[in-house]
Amino acid sequence: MNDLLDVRQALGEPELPSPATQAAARAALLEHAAAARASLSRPWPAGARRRRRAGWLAGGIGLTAAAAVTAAALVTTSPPRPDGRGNHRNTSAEPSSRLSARQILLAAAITAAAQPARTGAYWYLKETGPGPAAATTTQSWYTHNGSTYTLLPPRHVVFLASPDAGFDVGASALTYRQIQRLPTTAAALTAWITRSFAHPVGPSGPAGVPRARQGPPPRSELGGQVAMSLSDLLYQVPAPPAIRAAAFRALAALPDVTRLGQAHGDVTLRISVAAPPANKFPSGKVPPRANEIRLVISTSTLALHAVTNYEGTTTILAARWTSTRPPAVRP
Amino acid sequence: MAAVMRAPTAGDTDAAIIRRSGLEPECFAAIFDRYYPQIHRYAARRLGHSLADDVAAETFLIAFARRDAYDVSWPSCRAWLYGITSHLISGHHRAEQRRYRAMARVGTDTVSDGLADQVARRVDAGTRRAALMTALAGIAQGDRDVLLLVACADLNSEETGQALGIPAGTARSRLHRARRQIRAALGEAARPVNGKDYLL
Repeated sequence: MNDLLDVRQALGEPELPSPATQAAARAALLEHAAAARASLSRPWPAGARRRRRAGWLAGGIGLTAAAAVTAAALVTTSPPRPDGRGNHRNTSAEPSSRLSARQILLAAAITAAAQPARTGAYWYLKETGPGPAAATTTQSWYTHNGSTYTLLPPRHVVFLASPDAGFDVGASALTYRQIQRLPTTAAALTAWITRSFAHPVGPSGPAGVPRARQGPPPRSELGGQVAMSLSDLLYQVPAPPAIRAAAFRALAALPDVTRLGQAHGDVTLRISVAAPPANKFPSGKVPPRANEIRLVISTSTLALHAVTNYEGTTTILAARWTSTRPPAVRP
Repeated sequence: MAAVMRAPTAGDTDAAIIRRSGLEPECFAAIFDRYYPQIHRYAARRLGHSLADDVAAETFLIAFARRDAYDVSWPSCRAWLYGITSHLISGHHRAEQRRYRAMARVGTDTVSDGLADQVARRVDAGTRRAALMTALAGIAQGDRDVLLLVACADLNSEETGQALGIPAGTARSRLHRARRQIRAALGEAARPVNGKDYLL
């Protein structure tokens, strides 16, 4: 099923404009052209030519040797591995003022790795935003066979999404099984996601086709897309603990990771992926924070509480396995 | 004035024509001839015929007025024009939503008060379309712009980004979100879970 085609067909094939309408529009344009010719006094401004894409992010987001060494060294200084499943209280050794952003991410990786693999039939995700909570809070239950139940605002209707849609990882759409086989080292995971933008894989079927049609993002945006995809892996899809941990470590390995501040038991980290693009679009508009993502992480549990990218902030209210059935499904 | 006056030919890129139109403004008519029908069709899909007449004509007047700001490193100006059209359409977003809601009612046997009621009925092409239209009316304006540029104007995400003045990555994630809403409202919405009513 191709939803894009559905949209197009549902909107119908409008009649062509009448020749009179078209002629009138053309005449109006020529009137403006004549007025412009009349007032032509200076030559075509050469400076109007804009360079697009000033080659930001030339270095990509690769793990630099220095960062790799630092990261390796930091693992030993991270808070102690929690002994026992689900008991993360002892990681809380206040990852507060003493730890750097990178150390916090590495500690979060250790905590994530220690989480139980799968403790229920559903991966349950409750998130809000970007946008007003009432309009953007969704709850989803994902099963391992790909069925998805989603409660959508504002009417809280439950929808069952198609099992063949797949989970988004990078530009690819993966089955639950494929997700379990993603690389578990940071560098390999980053490489896998980066490659997906050039060669997206999808379930055989129409669901995979439109994704491929979109084409890869421009080089300048690839780093940001990869970072965003890594942050998606932290909560959006039912990835096993080792892969979730790898995603944390991959984010820690990005070149520019800083702490912004701490409030209400959360610490905010900023991951900058490049300098902002300059004069990139004819409109000259670049959205604020186009070149960074922010993660809000609990200082007590090291769980991810929110992700901000240039689309806005998504607050993660729950991302866990559950046996509780979605309200739609009756035993 | 200009010594050589030759009409633009099919071999000229849009960028070349637009650049030329700096000194030879009438050249811009070639841009109109190339794109007016498809711009009109796009506007008509979103706003209906009569508003589309205005929006399509206005698109070319605005494009002409801004031709000196056109980035000539883009050979085709198609995305640029669609961007202007999208901006004009956003000024009519209430009319657009009304239109989709009206289209949702056409084709369902009775006028029901919402999506929840509709999907609960026997699913046929009409209710499916109704669900889609209702969903379309409810999608955020920026997301809808991206969705419809991809679905109806055949722009890819980079072109969509260029059209709307946003990074391709933003276009991509908006498209993803819009499609998720559409998919949710579509066939998937209509399939009963375990053969039972799954509406709350």
